[in-house]
Amino acid sequence: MKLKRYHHIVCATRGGEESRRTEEQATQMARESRAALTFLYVVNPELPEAYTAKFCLELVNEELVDIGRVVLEMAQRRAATQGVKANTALRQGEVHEEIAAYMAENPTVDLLVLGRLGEALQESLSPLLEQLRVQGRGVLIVEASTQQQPHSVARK
Amino acid sequence: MTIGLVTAKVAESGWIGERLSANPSSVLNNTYNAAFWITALVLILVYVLISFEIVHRTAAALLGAVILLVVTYTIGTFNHDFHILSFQQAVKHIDLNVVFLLMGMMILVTITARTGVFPWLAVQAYAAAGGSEFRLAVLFAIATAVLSALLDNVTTMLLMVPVTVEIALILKINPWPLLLPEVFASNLGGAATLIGDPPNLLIGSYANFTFLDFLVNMTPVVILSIIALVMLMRLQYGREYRRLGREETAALLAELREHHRITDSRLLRKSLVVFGVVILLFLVHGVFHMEPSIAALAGATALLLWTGSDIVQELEGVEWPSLIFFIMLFIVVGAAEEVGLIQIIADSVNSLAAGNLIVAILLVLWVSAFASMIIDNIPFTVTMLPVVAYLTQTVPGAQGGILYWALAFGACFGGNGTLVAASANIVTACLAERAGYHITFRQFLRNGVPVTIVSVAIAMLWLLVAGR
Repeated sequence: MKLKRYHHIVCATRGGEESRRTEEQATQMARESRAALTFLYVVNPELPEAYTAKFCLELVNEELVDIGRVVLEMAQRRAATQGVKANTALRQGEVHEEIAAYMAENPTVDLLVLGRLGEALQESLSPLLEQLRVQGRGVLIVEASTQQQPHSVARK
Repeated sequence: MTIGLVTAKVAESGWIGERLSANPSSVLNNTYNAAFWITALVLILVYVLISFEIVHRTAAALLGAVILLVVTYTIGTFNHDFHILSFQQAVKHIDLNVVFLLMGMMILVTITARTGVFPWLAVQAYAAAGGSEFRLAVLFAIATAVLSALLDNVTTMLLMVPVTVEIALILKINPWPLLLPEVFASNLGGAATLIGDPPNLLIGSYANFTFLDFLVNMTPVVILSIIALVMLMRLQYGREYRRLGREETAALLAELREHHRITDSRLLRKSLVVFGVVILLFLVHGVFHMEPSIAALAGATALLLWTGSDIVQELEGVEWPSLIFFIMLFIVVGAAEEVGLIQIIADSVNSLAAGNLIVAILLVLWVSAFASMIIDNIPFTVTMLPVVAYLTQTVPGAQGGILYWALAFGACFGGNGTLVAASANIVTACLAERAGYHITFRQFLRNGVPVTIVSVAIAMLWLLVAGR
């Protein structure tokens, strides 16, 4: 089976062990396709309850940006060990909105790699995923627990 | 059926609470009328709404208070059986000492947090750990416990967790072996002082315990519990803690110092001076017969004026929903007291204790701990205060206030039992999730239950030995 070649791959990562496989998959595909690779992290400072005052959330937001920066730096370093020079992008806001905005701002991206989606995120991302399919851009959802062939699950 | 309860607070000093003072007594004589049943239903409704997070807890308490007052001033005007509590009675039940103390401390923390001192402290802890992850976890836990004793636990965790996660990510380790001891230490440390945890604030204000009473009666147990926590951590995560090389440690330290500096050292100096004076006032407030809220408000006002802060902006740091929650909760539980519902609970606990102090201590301590694992410990404590006041009067040997300390230990330490037992736990889980590290209810339970059992057992031994 001939592998599809991509030009610009974006991997949305949350950090953590669960995202490791997603990052590795994106890195592997970028290496095979000789594509540009960008790791994207979205800082979402919203807490489930109104536990804290506004000032505290502002401080927490600054700290979360730091966490995002470290998550991206670690992903970038891991990609470098695989011989892939990756870029990073850090955005702030609702995860689904920011991924959609990034994809809209970067039309050269032809593959979006995501980790396992929770129910809520799956629902909020579904319009974007549908839109990307219509545009002929690829979406790869990497399930952390399964050993999938990357291209077999790439949906277009 | 006529029921009656003497709701006077404890009188005379005892072994453990030297400054327990006599408060106005009231004998309630109520019947199982419509007002009683409506109040019981409203109290249950508020508990259910809060426990299952159906609505925000402030909305739940507000709804409860409004139902009780509206019923009183509509149907209750024509039929006295529906008269639950008057507006004047409702206002009388609001403990403004608690409300103002919380407000004053929130303003102080708002201004101090802007200096960047909390993440800076975490970096200092990393420097002192000298590359040992276990020592790092211990130092983080101790720093968090000390901060939680002086600030509220949620704020402490909000300021400590991100930098901890960042360090863990750079070290390429799972942050939970660092975060769990931290959050447990936060809940334990909060129990150490009058201002560390809302149940303590409520108990201190209700029973007239001073800051010093808490230092004498709670802090030693908290210190012992933190030592036990460190030992449990060693058992649980011993193999996961590594030792880093000197170069790796130095490189990380340089990076952390670069990102987490004191942002305003002048403001920090002023904050520390004011904080120091407020703590001093807390230590001596009993001597001056000064409510602790006055010290907190004085400190907040002094810092606001000294730093030339914009008061409107700084007041955004006050968690108004929390203050309204407390006010409305006081009204709901006040109504339960007025209609005799609290008396029923007090009588039940009293007959279970059968006049035996040891049984009463065990009951209050363990029931409070288990209840706090499941439900919000603030409404639980507010409900239990008149019950404990009644037991303090009726159980021989309890007059010194030992049952209040049992309630404080149970309500605070129970917060470590489950993921939902304390807001600090939820906030920690939420922030760690942002870095991709999820913890399940079961995983938290597996770690939290041993800590809760051990710390409550230490408190139990302390109370039993000291109570003899």
